[in-house]
Amino acid sequence: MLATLRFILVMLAGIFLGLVSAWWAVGNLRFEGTRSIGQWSVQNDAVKANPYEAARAVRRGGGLGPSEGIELITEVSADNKPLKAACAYLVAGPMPQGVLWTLTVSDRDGHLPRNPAGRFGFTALDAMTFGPARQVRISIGRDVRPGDFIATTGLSSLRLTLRLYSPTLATRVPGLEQLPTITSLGCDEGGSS
Amino acid sequence: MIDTGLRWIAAMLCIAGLTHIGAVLLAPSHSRDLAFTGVNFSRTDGKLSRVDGGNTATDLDPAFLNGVCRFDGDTGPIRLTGAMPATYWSIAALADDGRILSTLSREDLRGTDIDLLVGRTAALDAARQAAGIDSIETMSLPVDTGFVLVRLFAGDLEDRSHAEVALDGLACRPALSD
Repeated sequence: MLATLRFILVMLAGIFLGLVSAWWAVGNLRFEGTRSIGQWSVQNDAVKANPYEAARAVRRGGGLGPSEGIELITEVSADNKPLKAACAYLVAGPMPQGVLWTLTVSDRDGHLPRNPAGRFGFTALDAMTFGPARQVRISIGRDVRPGDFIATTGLSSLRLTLRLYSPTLATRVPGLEQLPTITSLGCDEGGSS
Repeated sequence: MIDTGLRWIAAMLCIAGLTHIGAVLLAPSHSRDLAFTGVNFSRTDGKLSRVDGGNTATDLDPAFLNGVCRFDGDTGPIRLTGAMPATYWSIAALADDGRILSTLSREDLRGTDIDLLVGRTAALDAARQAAGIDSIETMSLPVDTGFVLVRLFAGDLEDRSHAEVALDGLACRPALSD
């Protein structure tokens, strides 16, 4: 009787562990077929056979196609620490010139923040730019900051998605010097993520 | 006693490993339409269904208005017609499992009026002949079933209103019904 119970428990625990680890792995950037440009990850078309990438595509859709552009994602800051929803960050630096870009803030499952302004990100057309290189300075966090700002209210994790809409970029991925960096501005010690 | 405990743990890890591998490998084939689950295609009446974070699990750009149209063995190839806005737009054909099969964007087509035939390569010629259309853009796919996803840039209020007009004006019908 005890052996049967133990067998059932082991089976159930094993299946549970397997499903949870599969769900976690599919949502984790480390298992995706990506190449890195600094802190940004860009999906690599050459690794479509990656089973994690195939499962991810079912859940999230296939991203952007070659005629559309490229999608860069980051979940880490410039010092390679995981982005936290309870912390504030500054996205600063250049964006690829002559390209329609959009920067979106979400959690790791793609849920958008809930804020009264309905602001989920910025685009090439509405972000303030500075200097001849047209650099952006976008703050992200829970407490309002001056300038371009995105509130992360309601998010439990943090993911930034930079989409560059240009068919030429699919074959000529921008270099690190053409992309902004994300630096920490401090954390809300009372909040948790 | 320790031996027995270790054996149980080893068995549990084996089962977990097999479940993990099985779940990851079977997800694409057993999660039919998951990327667009929640989208009601029955009341579209030849129009595209609006999709966003509210009715799909797909990670779409919120700066865009997105419309999706379903094609399968019953509809055969579909014909997408209408006028696109002057802002950025693109069209992607996706397989049921969410993979992007083919795309085109504003740079690929001249003008803002589109007339596009989407479907399996072999069925496109038959549909073109049956519908009596000689000159038309085509999107040849290796599958019979999937989705056509139209993305229209809607970065500000003006862009959004133009995109809404364009999306509402797009028709997506089985090519053989014309």
